[in-house]
Amino acid sequence: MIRINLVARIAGDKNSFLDLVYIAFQLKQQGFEDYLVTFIGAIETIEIYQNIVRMAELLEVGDKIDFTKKSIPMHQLPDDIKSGYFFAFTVGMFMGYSAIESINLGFKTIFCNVDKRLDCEQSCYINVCPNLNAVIDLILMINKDTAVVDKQIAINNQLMKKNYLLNADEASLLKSLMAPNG
Amino acid sequence: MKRVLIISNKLTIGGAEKLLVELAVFAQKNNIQPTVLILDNYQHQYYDSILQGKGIKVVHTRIRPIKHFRAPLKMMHSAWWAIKLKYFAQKYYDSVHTIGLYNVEKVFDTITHRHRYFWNVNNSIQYFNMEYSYQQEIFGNGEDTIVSINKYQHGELYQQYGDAIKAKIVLSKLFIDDTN
Repeated sequence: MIRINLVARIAGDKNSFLDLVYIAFQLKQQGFEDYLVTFIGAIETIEIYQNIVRMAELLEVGDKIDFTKKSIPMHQLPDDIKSGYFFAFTVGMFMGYSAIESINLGFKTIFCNVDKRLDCEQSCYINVCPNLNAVIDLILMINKDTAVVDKQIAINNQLMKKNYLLNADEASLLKSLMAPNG
Repeated sequence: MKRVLIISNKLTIGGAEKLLVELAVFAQKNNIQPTVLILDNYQHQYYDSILQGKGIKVVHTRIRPIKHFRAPLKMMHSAWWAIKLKYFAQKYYDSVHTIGLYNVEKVFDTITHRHRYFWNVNNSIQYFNMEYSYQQEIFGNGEDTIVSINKYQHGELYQQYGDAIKAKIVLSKLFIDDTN
């Protein structure tokens, strides 16, 4: 079974949760049903949670959606979740901390841009998807050829990890922000 | 020793909170003493223990309003911090960093300092009609600095607020210290 995990508080400032329900629906439409989408995070806005559940029911993928209903540090997640694919929303090429932590921990991470204005900003990495259709294609590809795709994702994530280490100039800039002269 | 004050409203598991922790640890490793100030939230949350475990001081209080008659000790604590930040912040800290523009309205008039940094941790896509919900006044002080964490935020802010932005804008990427 392919596990797709999203680490995020269920809250109003993150409005792309239904995208994963859509992905679940499309996967089912295309005849693939051996997957589970898990939302990992506290439920801060109950209406958002209810909308996810209701939409999943309407699209008949309710049994493919799961919630931890609480925030869990990523390194403390159960092994069956850790071995899955961590889905991370991006804004163009920008990745937030859940994505950075995910690649830092060596988890298989899939990125998807949520800002349509920035579709053309995406990189050529197989696991950095410009839109939801590309994510669906990637999941189907994983199902077909898991070992090859996993290997490529691992390589890509290692390359991306380097982007989140500070080089000397960046560290120097940050120090100057914290302890400015004068 | 240099000192930095880092302000937010919570220490739960989350991206803005992770940024706060990384900044505090970075400061500590660079001989800048960090103090973390959590406003309007007295709960002990996930990153409290982690910061305290690293020897980083975490203070929970509020600075406006400070009335708290059912908890006089908390009220005195609030009064002390309100006065300290309004009149003596420059003396105690080399810079003041506020994480999240959503927290800036709490500190804009209550903390006086020549080196205030306001970290923008959101993009417009997260807001209704793709518009930030902040008052334009928070960008109006030319001595302040808005810190963007990605290259898109700069354009988003100028597109929405235009000439109202007097503050400087700098880019500082998200980072991890994988030796932690």
